[in-house]
Amino acid sequence: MTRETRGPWYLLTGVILGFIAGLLYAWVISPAEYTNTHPHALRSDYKDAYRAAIALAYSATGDMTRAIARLGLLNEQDPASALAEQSQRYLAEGYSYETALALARLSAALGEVPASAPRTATSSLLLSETPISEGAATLETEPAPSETVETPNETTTPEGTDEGLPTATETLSPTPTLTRTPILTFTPLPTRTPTPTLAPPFVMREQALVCEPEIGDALIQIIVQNNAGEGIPGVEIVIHWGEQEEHFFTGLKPEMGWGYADFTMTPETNYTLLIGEGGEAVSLFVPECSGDQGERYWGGWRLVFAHP
Amino acid sequence: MSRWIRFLIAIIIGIGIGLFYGWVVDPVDYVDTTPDSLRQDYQADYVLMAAEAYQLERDPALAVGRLAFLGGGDPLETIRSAIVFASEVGYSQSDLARLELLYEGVESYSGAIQDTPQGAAP
Repeated sequence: MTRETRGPWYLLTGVILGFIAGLLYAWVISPAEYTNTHPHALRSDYKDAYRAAIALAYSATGDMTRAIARLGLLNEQDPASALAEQSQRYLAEGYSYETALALARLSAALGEVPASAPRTATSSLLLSETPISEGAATLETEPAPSETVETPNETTTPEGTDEGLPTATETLSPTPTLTRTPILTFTPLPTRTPTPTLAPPFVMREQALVCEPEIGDALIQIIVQNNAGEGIPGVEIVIHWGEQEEHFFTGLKPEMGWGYADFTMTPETNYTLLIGEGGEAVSLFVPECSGDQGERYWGGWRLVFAHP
Repeated sequence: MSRWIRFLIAIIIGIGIGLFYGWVVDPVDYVDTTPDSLRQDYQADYVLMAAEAYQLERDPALAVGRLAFLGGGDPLETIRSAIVFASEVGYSQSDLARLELLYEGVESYSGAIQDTPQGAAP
């Protein structure tokens, strides 16, 4: 083939070679900056540690608004269930009991936040000069006068979901701006929710004998609800029998509902059940049921607890 | 214009397209990041969380363990950076006080550890 018959294909070859070189440079040699990352991008084990820190901070301050704002940074659909699940996992894996308890308490407290209230962050990362005052909840970025750092503009706004629980969605503008590194600060919400006081202890609303031979085990089925009748995950349940006791939390079996927990009893043993802190103590034993043909089998209990 | 120059221009255009695609259209998507890459404001807020927990627990060893989350550097330096940052952006006085309390606790703890004789001969 002569030079004249080759045509302009060499130009396309050049563009392709250049494109490959450009991609190599952009993806491998000098990829996008791996700094100034956001908590939702953390590896899952780091997210766990971050969530635990939120729960421990909440245990110390009782500041639910701030806890909600912080949980919102993890961009999770259902922070309460994530907390409950982590609490159960920490208990099972032998992590600090205090941490598991803090996670469970925050999960339970979050479960009691009315569905109409925002359960995720109102974290609007804005560039503004607004002075920051004491309070908690709105996460805000501020420019400062002089330094020049490239940062993306970031806006996070709450948005409703099908389940009625708001979640955070973000819009990221890749355009660099000449501002200082954005700053996370806490400014008061327009109508700040008062720091929640300790919820009243749970009381038993219903105790029903369960005679269903197909269940097989002598189960105590516990359902803990808020005032709206929604299940509350992460509520600690303590059960004593003889010299032994066991701690567990609601929400371990989400398929049964977030406020559900159960425990298998042994016949001819007396149990004492406590729900949450200062909750009502309930004494239980394995009931005996009889079938249509007069056959005998062990039954169980279904207990519903709620705030008075 | 010689073919080689045109070929070179084509390569440069290709590089430009590649960079645009790699940096703007489909940049590297970072997931599973580590806490030391968190933005400064998030790091400062994490230190504040540790300070809030410390205010209740008063256990500097636990606090130091939690601060190691941010990369395992000098915990005092981590807290100092958070305090400077918090002061600059106007954290509330109560939050600043928590951070300072944490700093003092960790400072005492670090001093106590350094004062402990290491492998002293009997």
